[in-house]
Amino acid sequence: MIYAICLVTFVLLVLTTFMVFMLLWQRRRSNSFILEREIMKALYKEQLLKTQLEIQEQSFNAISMEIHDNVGQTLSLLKVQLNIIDQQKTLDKLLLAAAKENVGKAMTDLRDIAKSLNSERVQQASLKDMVEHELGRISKTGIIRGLIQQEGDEQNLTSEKKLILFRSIQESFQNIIKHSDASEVNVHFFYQPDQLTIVITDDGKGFESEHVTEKKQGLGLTNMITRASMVGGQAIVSSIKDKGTTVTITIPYE
Amino acid sequence: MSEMIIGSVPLLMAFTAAVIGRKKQSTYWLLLFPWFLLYTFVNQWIGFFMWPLFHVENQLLFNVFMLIEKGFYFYVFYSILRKHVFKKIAVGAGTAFLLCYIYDVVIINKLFTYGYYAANAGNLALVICGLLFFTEILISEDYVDIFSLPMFWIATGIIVFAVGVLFYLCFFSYIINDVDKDGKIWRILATILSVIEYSFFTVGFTLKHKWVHSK
Repeated sequence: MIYAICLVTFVLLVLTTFMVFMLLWQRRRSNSFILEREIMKALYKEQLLKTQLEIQEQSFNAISMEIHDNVGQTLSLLKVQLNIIDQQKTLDKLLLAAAKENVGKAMTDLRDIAKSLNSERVQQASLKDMVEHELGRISKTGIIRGLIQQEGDEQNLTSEKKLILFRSIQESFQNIIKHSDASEVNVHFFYQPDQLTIVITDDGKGFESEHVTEKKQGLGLTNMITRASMVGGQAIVSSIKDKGTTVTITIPYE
Repeated sequence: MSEMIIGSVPLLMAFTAAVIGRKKQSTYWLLLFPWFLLYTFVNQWIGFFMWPLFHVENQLLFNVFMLIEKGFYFYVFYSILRKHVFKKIAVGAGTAFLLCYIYDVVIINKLFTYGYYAANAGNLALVICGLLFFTEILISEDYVDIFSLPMFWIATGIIVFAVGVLFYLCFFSYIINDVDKDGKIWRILATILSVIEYSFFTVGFTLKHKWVHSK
């Protein structure tokens, strides 16, 4: 009987020890999962910050060009006009009107630039508006003509998703400008019930997408794919030589 | 006597660690731990010498000790548990023990005979509280370094003791009358389990980790 008492007590204690070990093992697994999740969060934040910085840099470049090409030119012309008015003995009303018009144009251009610098406006603007603005800027160069289309009712996206998507689309535009020799780019927004699909098509020279390995994809395409997966979506690049390229980005709303 | 000394060493170590680590103990109930351990120590030795020196039964003393010990542990578990439903279960387990205690110790045994049924009920209830605490650790959404949690060691110590004496106390009257008449097995068992329990307490109190507020 003594042995039975000892044995049962021993078995109970072994079971308790086993239970504690199970707890430790399971907690260790959970801890590693939590650590992994924290790392993913940190990476996401880092990528988001990087994206924001890239957009900012891109905006600064665009603004610099805008000031140089538009406002700068308008003001130079205005200076010439004022010099002529100054040298004239009688006031040329027509020239004065033209100078006034140029002051107005310069002011409008500056107001547009100031608006585009306002971060709140960027956050409040819809993705389509942001892309439209970007496409308009590209179209101004006269090299590429941009067209934007939308199907379905526009859905709200979180500002993080919007920024990441916008950066991906910008990346795609840059690729088109740099490598495609395209004359036309189409951006199509498909607002489906649970996801948004954006299709960017160009009529450029294209490439054999099947032969493009991940290494050769270059940082632009890789970034685009990584960014899309970060917000739970995916980006697919398909191209046929001499027949243009299509980039399809799919993002769930939730 | 030797069992008493062996059992007292880890108890004193736990007491010392609890006194030294008082500054880290930011919650009220943890400040009670040194007093509780001191009371346990004094109670054990008084209980041990009551019969040889004064020819007085010590069962009343241990009945009172049972109530204070289990009550204190329930209070500790209640304070450390965070989930409302777990707190409710802990209160339920504590109440069940109290009812068993009143029935077994007060009504049946009239306080002067050790209420082993009540003790067993208390141990079972403490095991439940310990499991609730473990469950809380297990399902926590935050990173938890179990070994750095003082309460993990304390809870494990309490559970090991409670589980260890469970079977013995289940058949207490039979064992004490037929198998273990001189109580030798009980003394050895209690000594081993006390050493484990208070060693775990000592580890818990010596951890550098700051005690977390229960709420």
